[in-house]
Amino acid sequence: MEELSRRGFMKWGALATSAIAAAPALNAATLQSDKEIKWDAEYDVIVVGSGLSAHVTSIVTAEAGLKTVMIEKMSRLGGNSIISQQDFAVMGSDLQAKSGIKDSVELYMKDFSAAGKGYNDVRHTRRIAENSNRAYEFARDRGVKYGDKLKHLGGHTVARSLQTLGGGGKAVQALHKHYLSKNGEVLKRVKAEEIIKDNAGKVIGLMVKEKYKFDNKLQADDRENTTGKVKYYRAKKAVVFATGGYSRDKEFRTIQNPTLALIKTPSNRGATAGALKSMIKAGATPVQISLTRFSFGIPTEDLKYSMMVDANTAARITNEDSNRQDLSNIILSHMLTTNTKKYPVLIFDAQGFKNSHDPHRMNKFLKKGKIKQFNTLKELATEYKLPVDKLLEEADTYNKSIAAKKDDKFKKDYSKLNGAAVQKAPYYAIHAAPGLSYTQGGVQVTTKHEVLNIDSNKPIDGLYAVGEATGGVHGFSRITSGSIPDCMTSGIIAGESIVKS
Amino acid sequence: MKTYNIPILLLLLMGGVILLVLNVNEPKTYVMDVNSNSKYPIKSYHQELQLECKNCHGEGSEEDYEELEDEQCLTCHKSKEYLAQRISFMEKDKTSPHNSYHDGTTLSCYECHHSHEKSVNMCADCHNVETWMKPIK
Amino acid sequence: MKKTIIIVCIGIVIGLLVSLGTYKGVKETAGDKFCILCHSMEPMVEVYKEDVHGGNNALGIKAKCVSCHLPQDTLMNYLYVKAKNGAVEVAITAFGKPENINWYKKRAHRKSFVYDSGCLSCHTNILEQTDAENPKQLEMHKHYESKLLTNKKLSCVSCHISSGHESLRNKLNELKPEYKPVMNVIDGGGH
Repeated sequence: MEELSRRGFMKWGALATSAIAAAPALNAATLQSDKEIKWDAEYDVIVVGSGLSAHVTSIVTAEAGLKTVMIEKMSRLGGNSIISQQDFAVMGSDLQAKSGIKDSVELYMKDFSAAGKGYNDVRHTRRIAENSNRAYEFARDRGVKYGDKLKHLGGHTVARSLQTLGGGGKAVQALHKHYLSKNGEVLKRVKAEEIIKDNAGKVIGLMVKEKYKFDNKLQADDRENTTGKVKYYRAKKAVVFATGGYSRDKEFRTIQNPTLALIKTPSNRGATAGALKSMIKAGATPVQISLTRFSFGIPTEDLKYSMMVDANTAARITNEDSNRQDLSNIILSHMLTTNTKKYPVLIFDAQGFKNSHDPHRMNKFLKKGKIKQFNTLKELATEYKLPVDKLLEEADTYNKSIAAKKDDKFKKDYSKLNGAAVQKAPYYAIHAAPGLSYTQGGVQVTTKHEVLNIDSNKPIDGLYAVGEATGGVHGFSRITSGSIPDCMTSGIIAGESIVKS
Repeated sequence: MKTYNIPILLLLLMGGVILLVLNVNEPKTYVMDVNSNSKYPIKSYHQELQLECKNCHGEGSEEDYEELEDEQCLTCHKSKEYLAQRISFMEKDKTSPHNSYHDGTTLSCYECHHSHEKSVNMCADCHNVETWMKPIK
Repeated sequence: MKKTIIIVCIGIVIGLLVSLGTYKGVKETAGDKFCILCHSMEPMVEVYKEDVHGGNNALGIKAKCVSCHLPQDTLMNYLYVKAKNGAVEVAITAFGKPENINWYKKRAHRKSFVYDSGCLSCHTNILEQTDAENPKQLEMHKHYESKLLTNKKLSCVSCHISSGHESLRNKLNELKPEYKPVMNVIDGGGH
């Protein structure tokens, strides 16, 4: 087209631009005009999600008389919250007072920050510490039942973790019942697709899909799923994203960290990154998206008593005396570099098993078959398909180095072993399979849980985020029983901010 | 007694027995009329009842058929609480899918049960169910 | 003449005694007290007692075991099946191993031992109803009726699976559990 003049180019350019502008709203991050939209439903507050954070936020706004709706893209409510055991770290609870346990905001923050390793925003750590007891009483007063004994969990200086009776299932059910009694509405199979703003940049509603049918067989449901009918919901006061994490979004988590292609996850099917992407597209600031919090099963303190070997070569991989996070990262990158999908095997001998800090849990695993018991290493090798000779050789080397009090290979501190080695039958083994059920990353929020804009660093008017959907709260790793206080305190504070606004 | 009375009596007896036999309401094993709509096959337990498309999808043309809501399944299957009660023996070990530890009785039928394709056991997503659940038909 | 009269009178007395005896016999072997003489029937009778058909209703009305489990259409039918079943059941109980009976499997053939004539002998107008709380009931009963004169009859218990013995499966599980649950852990899913 040598004859394309400037005029011609402008003409084509203009046509092309208007064609793009006329393209359906799906291609634009946000629509710009309130007047053009025909709303299918109107609410004061739309809460996206139906887990713990969502319920707490919705209860606060519903109790204040605001017309609140929780929208859940799945046909099953509760997200990961109903699967979670919901151990709940509380500072200054009545149970601590009863047991004479001295706790403080500073101590609580210290423990959380030790896990966070400085990646955590201490303003949020303080928010959790200062409001955890208020959250406990909030939930208890609305039907959630707690045990009368505190748990002293790993990483906490004092016993402060409450036991939720019936786990997350019962807790969410109780809160749900309460929510409905306050005229709260809930819609299943409604997925938030796009955030809608007005010309001034204020969030005024959502473009959703009703009768959405999540397809577990799709590789990337958020992108590939074509079910559902587009509708527009008006949010007169606020939209709150309580959309949890993305531990089950294999594509997204692998982009952030390729080793995460290899993890297992017990998370609910809906834990994908679609909501996070919607917020980012609306201008939210993503924080620490590649950070992950692994779970293992075996108590962290017991790992050092084991010998961990590669599933193919039966050779030791690393210093087993480590925390779950670091060990998991090492395991995963080792699997990636050796191009295997088989998890390493952790081996305890009789003494190592006996040394466990949580014998009750270890025995439970044994009964359930997660830990297997063997009379000889040969049987163990056969069961786990390890090369027998190599395993015996490695065990021998390991034992010898323990006797010599020197680990040439990995510099493990053998003085901590308390007699554990790979010598005394029976032997116990378990796959070292890092499990991922929590993603610390998310969007940046103020202490009022307003979502901050990535350019202006100011709150996006009308947009809030709570719970696991936020980022930078826990940091490098999340302390055990630390998610529940985060979910609850964020829900209460966000709800109150909305009511006051 | 005349001698020919005996055979008459026997004949009468035989006749009586034959009448009895014919009257007996023995269940016949019958060949099932399969609703052989191969694009949307239905499960054997619905086939046995010889259900037709309209029994579930209502009157209307087939093109307009939509997936059922839970409430429609429950017009025959009563209620979620009733379904939980029928397998309450599983609650002892907290393994009942109809009154589960995580969801109570709130699950949608479709989490597991599919009418026109293979059913899926949602619990098996995370749990090793072999010892405490049969495959869902 | 006198001899004939005496023979006839004796005949009448014997006839009356026999028929009274038969009547009594048939009647007494019709109730739950008799059926429960066989130990294997205990779970069935226990759940029956909790069932609306077993007296657990506002009026205390009970359906007898035979009301449902023997044909109620003709007397000959009734007696024939009663005698046949009786003989077979006694034989199994006396000479067989009733404790090995798989009741779960038996429940799958409920059509062969629960008679529609039984249900209909009490629920006489159920098929003629034009009004019902659940419209599905009317639709399904019409469906049932449409198949009656074909060789593909449905049975009341095709749908009404546990009528009379609600919760039987739960009760059977108390005695012979279907599963031996090994408490298990989450194995991570692998996704």
